[in-house]
Amino acid sequence: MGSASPGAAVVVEPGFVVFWHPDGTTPAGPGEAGTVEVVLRDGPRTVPARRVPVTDAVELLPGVSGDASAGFWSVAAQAGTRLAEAGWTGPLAPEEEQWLRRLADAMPPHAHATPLPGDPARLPEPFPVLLRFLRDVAGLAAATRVSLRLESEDLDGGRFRAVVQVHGDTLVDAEELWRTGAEAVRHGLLLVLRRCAEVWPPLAPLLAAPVPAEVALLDDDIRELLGAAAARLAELGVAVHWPAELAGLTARAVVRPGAAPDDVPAFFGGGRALELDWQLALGGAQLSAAELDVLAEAQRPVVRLRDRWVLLDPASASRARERALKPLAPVDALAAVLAGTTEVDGAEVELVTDGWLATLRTRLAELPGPAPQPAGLTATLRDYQLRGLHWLDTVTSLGLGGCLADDMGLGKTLTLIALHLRRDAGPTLVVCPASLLGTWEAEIHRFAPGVAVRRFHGGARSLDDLAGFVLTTYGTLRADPAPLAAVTWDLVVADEAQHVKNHRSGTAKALRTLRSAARVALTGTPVENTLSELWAILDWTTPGLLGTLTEFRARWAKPVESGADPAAAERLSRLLRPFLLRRRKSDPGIAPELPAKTETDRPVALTSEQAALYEAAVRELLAEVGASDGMARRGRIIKLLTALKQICNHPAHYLAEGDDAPLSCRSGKLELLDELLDTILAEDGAVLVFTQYVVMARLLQRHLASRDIPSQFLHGGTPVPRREELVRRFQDGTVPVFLLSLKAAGTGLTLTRADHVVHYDRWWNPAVEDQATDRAYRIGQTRPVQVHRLVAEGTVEDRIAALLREKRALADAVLAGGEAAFTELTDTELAQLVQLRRPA
Amino acid sequence: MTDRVRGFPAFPACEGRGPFARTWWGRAWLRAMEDTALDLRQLRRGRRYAVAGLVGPITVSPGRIAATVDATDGGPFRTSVHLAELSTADWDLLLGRAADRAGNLAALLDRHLPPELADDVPLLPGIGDLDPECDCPGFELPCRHAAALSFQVSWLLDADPFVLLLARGRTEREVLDELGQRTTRPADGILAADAYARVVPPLPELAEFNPVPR
Repeated sequence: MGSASPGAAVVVEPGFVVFWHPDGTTPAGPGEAGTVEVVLRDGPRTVPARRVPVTDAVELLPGVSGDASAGFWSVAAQAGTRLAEAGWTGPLAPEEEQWLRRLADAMPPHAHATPLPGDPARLPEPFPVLLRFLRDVAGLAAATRVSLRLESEDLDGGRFRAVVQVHGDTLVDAEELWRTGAEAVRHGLLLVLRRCAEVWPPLAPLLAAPVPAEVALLDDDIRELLGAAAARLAELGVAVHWPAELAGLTARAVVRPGAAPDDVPAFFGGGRALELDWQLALGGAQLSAAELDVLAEAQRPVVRLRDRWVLLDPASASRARERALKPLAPVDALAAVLAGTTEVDGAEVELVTDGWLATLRTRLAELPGPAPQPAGLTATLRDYQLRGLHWLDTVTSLGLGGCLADDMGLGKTLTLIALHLRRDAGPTLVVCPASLLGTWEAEIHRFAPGVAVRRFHGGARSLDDLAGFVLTTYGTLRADPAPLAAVTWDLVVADEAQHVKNHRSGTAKALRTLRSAARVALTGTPVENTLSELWAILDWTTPGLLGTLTEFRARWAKPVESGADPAAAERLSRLLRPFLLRRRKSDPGIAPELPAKTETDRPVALTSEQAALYEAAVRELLAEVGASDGMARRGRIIKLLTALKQICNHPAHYLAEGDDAPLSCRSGKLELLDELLDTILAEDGAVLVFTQYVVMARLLQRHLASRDIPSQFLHGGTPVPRREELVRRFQDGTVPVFLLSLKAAGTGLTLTRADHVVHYDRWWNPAVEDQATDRAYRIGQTRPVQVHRLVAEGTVEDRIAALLREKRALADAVLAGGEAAFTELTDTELAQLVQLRRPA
Repeated sequence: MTDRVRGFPAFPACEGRGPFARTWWGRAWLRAMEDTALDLRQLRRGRRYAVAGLVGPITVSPGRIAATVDATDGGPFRTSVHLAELSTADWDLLLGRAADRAGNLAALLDRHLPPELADDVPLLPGIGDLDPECDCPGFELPCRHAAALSFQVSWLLDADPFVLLLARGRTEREVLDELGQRTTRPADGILAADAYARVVPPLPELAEFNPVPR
């Protein structure tokens, strides 16, 4: 249809493309018929025309075989389409404007032949016409972002004027807008100025003139504009631009640390408050007291200082008059110095310090180097553990405390034992979940053999002749805090500290009553993801550092979590870094140091229900064994061992309880498994749980389902296609917990996604256990694997585990046949093996 | 021309609606109608009809505001209110004032009528300026139907003073165009003779224009 207008010329109007013929004939094609006034080489003329809306014309123009003006607008339409596709919103990039100006320069006369209103001798400037057309093509409403540009030819006399300007695709003064601008922009500007004059009356004279071009401002107006008025205008989206030759003042707060305290931990525990002053600077150079006096006494908002004109905003003026800020408590001062900012009247202000506090800041902020290996430790610490030890040593010796949040398997317990040896300054209290008491005790015995360990738990509650480690549980601390609170500890450690994330809980309150020179929290879960949990932990290790929970939420958690203030996250990180050390197994500096496989026995105590069942079973079944011989005797020994292992697993396993039997809080092993799974799943890990018993696996499956932990179970009866499906779901991460019966784990299983293996009960044949474990790590495994062998303390499991540890070679020979080997034991030997030994 | 007639959909029944006019010009309109009325009962009924939503869609055109009032008293009736268009001289005065102060145009765009525009210009009706007409059998002026229409018109005026300017003879577009012409400074532009005389450079290559993705 465009081809129906050969030789057509094209001009544009707001919203329309107008086709016409220079020879005055009627153009063919689509659009509404009418006329248009144009100026030709020989003067103005009114000719027939067709008007097509710009949006339709964009498709039409490239097909028009018109004159040079049609070719021009066709290219312009394509340029506009490209801008629209690039998401253009109004402002132009410099290279875009450059090209478009070249295009405008190539605009032939027929393309802008409609004369200016009232002046048939003149045509409009090409560039504004082109821009208006591009906006129409891109469907942009005219932009009306308004700002005020302050100008002055006479700073001495203090005469300023505010010039109104509009930011569209280019920056235009209001004066110019009333010559060439679009009506919509002018109207938008008028509405904005009407609001501006309402919130700040000195702008009202703008609206008293026919064109709101500029307004004269007085000193008082300038002072207001440097203060509250600018904020009110900013709320309307109107910015104020000051002349570049006028220098602005910058302010920051300075902590005056004074003389270094003799006892730093005591100082942070509640020493004298530190002075905080305002410091003003001009172009980065600090102002002297005399210069501040000049500012304080200044009568005008523009002040001569250092041979320059300086804008004195009301805030700076009041800071120059009242230089002292509210003093900071020591721990608040430390927090402010670490974050590099403080809050004054609800605004973040840069903060600096000098002297010993600056030195301390540097010391805390730098990455810890490796500490020397402590004496008395039987393990060789890896490099990252030495760094962790150095860090713990630094923060605890300052009395500040900290949270070690390394991934499980990086040796937090070992590092803490090393810290105890390093400090060598008194008893250490470890508070942990009951299921971890055994692990702590075992590791202390193993890595610091000379150090005393006792439990303050159950019936054993002596605190006489304190030395070395005391282990207790959160439950015991909550129920019986007084004896523990009466001791002055050197170090208190909260293991799995995420258990005290609710700072109002009885446990958290009891934890706060403990007196110690230093506090350390350990956790393997990524606490930094939940800022209020992190607050609860650090407010215990380093009280006051993060302020009250309400203050912390308002100042840190909200801005960081909402993402409203990207700098807030950086400030918070600077504040936290010295008190929170978190390394991951996958960190480049750590992964190479980790062995491919770490095996740990995890001793757990029996619950009282388990202990009672265990002792009864030993009593009855040993009597049966003693009363029989031959094959019957062998059978009864197997029955005895099976019963004991079931009791160690779970009372419900031994008692063959129904599907509705409660499972929680009845088995030490199950409690520990929960603890391990919480950490493993928080790390996004995957775990294989082996048991010999299908019944036990089903119980675990039910228990995990009730905790909303996805799991699946593979046993000897699982058909092959189903096996493959289960393996695939585990390998692709759909199900993180895979329960396997050891017998079922035959050949053909590749479970390399697992980074943890739990042996819930013992096979007593190391070769079989190793084979099962190997499924996780031998092929294609890139992550280190941790093997956790759950062992019920004081039971036959414990005895055999010790046997396996100490006399592996002998045990291999004795136990090669599995449980059958036990059937050859005498009654006395058997009794020694199975009788329950309660911890002292 | 069609753009010289504006139609407004009928107001729904709105018992408990607040005062009829909230703006000074809306109140001036109502006062002109009420001061003219001789029979206050007609006014009260008109008010009730207006609130009950008995007035149909309202059309506003230069010199005339009209609607159909559907009443329970034998209607519907066609009713209208006539008022004089402003003279060219009065429009000139009004537009001149509006153009003199950018704030006046800003106020109009904000749907607000600056009092200054009505000074010395008979923009707002006074007593006797509103001429009601209705095909109902009643003989009161205004009748309850014309009164109902007038009450609702005050709502329209509150929301948009351009309704009053239209009734006085000019559309919003005409007013804005006229103000635009009065306030636009002469653009520099370029002389048509120069445009035809200069050598136009070739168009730049479109391939070189690659806008930055936003």
